[in-house]
Amino acid sequence: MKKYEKIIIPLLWIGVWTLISQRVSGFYLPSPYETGNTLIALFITKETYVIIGLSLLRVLIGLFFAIVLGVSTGIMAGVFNGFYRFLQPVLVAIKSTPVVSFIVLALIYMKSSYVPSFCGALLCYPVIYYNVIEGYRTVDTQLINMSKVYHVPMKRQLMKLYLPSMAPYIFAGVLTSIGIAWKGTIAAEVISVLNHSIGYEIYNGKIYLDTAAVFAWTIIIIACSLTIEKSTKHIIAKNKYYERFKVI
Amino acid sequence: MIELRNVTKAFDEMVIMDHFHLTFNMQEVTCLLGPSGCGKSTILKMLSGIDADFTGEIIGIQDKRISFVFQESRLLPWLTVRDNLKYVLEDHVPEKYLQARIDYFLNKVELAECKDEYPNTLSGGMKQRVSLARAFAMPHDVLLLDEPFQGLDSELKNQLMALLERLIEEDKKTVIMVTHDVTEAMRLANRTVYLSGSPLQIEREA
Repeated sequence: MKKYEKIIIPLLWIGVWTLISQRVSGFYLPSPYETGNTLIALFITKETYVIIGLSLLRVLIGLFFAIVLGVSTGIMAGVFNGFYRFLQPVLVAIKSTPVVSFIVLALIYMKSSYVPSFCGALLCYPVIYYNVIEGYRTVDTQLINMSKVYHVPMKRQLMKLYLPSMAPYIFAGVLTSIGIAWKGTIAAEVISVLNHSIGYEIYNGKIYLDTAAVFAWTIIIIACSLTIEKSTKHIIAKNKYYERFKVI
Repeated sequence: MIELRNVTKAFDEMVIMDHFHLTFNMQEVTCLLGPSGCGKSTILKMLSGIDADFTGEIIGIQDKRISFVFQESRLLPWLTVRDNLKYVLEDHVPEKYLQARIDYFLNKVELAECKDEYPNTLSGGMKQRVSLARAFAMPHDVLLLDEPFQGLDSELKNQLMALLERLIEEDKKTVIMVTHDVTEAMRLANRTVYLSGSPLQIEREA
């Protein structure tokens, strides 16, 4: 029974969806059949792939900057407590400000095409930053002391002691960030009404009351997010530091 | 000569050394013997620079190269045995001699065939042998040993002690070893300092 769960559970939910859609207007809830038809129509259009590609690129750019910034400032904040305290108000502000405020402010300050990546990066940055700090704090002090006694240069300590120790925390931060990056990026695309973006298509769906299109694009977002998450997990699982950690 | 002069050390409110004085002769094996928690290991941490939070002076150690065998093997789990040695040796041994030196000392501790293994595949005794190889392969003037056989069964302990005895004999360097096992001290030391705690005092020397 358990091996069929992966098929049976989604089918049950599609059944629930079908039942509800039969009782409410298609305007509020399109049926799975209608959504499926819209999806097929999207997949036979070349432009859909351009739109998905461009949104994906924005997500990846945002993630890239969040990782670079999160890892570098996270390590600095771990090493220098003063730097951690200095950055803390900014991190608290980023964490507690609604994403829509950032999007609107970013639209005032920069070109609308940069806003989705910027917002994606901003939302992912605290997740990666705090994971890196957590990882830094768990580096074995006995290994640090051993390196100190043997005068191992700081650069080698960073590359061969600190980063490998922190790797599982960085990986966990990146995996958590993937979903957040999609949410932030698409929200920014919707609000900034950016041409050639998934957000713009969702926005159009709302304007033209095409709920089936909104559902179809949302399914595409979920599929893209899961695909990237799975690919990242696959890459991480092949990483030698991660491998070593798994067997210890 | 290495000298701890007027050293005072406290952990929070507890003073573990109060104007403590101790000397170590060069090219001699000195064993510090005493009960657990009396401050023996703290002396090694001070000598190695791990613990600098004390008052008083340590004379004669600043210009010395130090090797340290810890209670635990302290190997980087994601590096192979060979790379663990390379990690500490790279800046102290010229590149062209590095590999030969690593192989030589791994051979000494009878682990040449394990050089590409990761630490998690080795037994506790094998890991401690890697730790000994690392300490002896590192060019040093002073070798510090902090209860290197703790937690090992008696047979393994005897094997490792015989190995250490041989390495010390060949090395002819200053050795300071902390232990609470009299037989270890009697077997390895030229001089044994019996210590007692709270605050640390020298009971007698032999």
